[in-house]
Amino acid sequence: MDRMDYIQAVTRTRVLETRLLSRARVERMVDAKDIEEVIKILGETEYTNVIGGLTRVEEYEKILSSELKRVYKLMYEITKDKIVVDLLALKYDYHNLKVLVKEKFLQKDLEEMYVSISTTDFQKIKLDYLAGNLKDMDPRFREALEKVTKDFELNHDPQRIDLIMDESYFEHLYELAEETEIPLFISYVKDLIDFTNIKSLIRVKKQNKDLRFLEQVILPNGNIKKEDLAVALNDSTEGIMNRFRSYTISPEVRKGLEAYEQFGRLSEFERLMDNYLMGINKPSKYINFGPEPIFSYVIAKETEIKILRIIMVSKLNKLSPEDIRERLRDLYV
Amino acid sequence: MYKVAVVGDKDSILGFKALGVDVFPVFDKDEARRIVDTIARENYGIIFITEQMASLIPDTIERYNNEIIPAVILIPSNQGTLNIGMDRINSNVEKAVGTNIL
Repeated sequence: MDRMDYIQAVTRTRVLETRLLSRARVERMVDAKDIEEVIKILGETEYTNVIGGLTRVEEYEKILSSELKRVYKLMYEITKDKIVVDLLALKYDYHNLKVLVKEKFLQKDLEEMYVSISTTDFQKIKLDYLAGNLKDMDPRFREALEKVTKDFELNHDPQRIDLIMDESYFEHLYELAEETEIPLFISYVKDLIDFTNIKSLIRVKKQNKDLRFLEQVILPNGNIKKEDLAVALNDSTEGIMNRFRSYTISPEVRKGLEAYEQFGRLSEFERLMDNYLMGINKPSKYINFGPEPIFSYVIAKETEIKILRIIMVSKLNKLSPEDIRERLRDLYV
Repeated sequence: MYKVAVVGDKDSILGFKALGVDVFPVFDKDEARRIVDTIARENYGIIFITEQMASLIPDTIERYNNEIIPAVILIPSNQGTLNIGMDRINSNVEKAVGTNIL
C-alpha cells in the first residue's frame, strides 16, 4: 500500500471531518424537548439531504441507514485500496450471510433484514447460494456458508449459525487487517477481538455454561491468549480484572467490569469499548499521507450514527437528558 | 391453532418477537385500529395491546370485549402502566363472581 496514493483522499476526508456533528450540537439534541426538535437540529447539518423524504419521526431509522449508506458509497469512491473500507463493511456482509442462511432454513422472506452495504456484490452471492453454486464467491464466504449449512443439518441449533458466522467474520477481518500491514488496523482488530472475548467470557459465566462452550465462542488472534481466557471462567469478576491487568485495554476492562458488578449490565462495558476504539483512532487526525484518516472517518461516522440512534430512541421513550448522557459515546472531533 | 399477537409502539413490544409472538408495531391510533381489526380476522386468539395504544382506541377495544375470540388483553408499555389493564381484570372478576376478590 503506497501512502502517497492517499493525498487526495485524505484532503477530501479532512473537509468531510469538519461536517461531523460537534459536541455542542449533540448536547443541544440531548436537551431537546422531543424527537421533532432533534430532527430539526439535524436539519442544520449534513443530514439535511436525507431528512427530506421523512414522513413521520418514527421512521428516523431510515435517515440513519441512508446516511450510513451514503458514507460507505462515498468512501469507497475516494479510497484507492478498497480494503481500507472493507475492514469496516465486512461486518455487514456477515450479517447478511446470517440472514441469508436463516432465510433459507426458515423458508421465510426476511428481505427487510438485509443491510445494503457490502464489500462485494451481495445480490450475486445470494443468488449463487440459493442456486447451490458456491464456487464463484470469496473462498472465506464459501467456507463459512458450507460450515454453517453442515452444522445446521447436524445439530439444528440456530444459535450455532451466529456463532460460526461470528467466528468466520473475525478470522476474515483479521486476515484483512494483516494484509494491509497498517499498525492501526491490526491493533484495532486485535483490541476488538479482546473486548469481544471478555464480553463473551462474562456472558458465558452469567449463563453458567461450561468450559467447552466457552472454548467454542472465544475468538483467536487477540492479544489475550485463548488459554488465559479459558482458565478465567472460574474467576470472580475481581479476579478477571486482575488477570488481564497488563494489557492496553485493561483500564477500560476494569471500569467496565466494575460497572457490571454494580448494575449487572454490560452496557457500560460496551460504551467504554467504543470509547477506547475511538481513542486509538484519534491520532489519525494528524496523519496526512496514508489510509488511516479514511478508516477513522468511517468509524467516526458510524459512532455518530450510533449516538443519534441513542438520542432518538431515548426521546421517543421519554428518557431524561441525564439518562441519555450516560449512554453517549465519545466523538471523533 | 390460534396465534398470539402483540400491538403497540415498537420499543415496547419488540422483545416479544423472541418468544415467537407476532409483533405489530404501530405509530398512531388509525394504524392501531386498522391492525387490530385486520389481525382479529386472521386466526389470532389473543391480541396483547399496550395500554397507551389501547387508550387511544377505546371503541375498538370495547367491540372485541363482546366477542369470545380474539381476547384483547391490555399490557403496560415501557412507559409504565396506566392501570387500565388491571382495572379491566378487576371489573371482569366482579362481573364473574359478584365481588372484587383480588
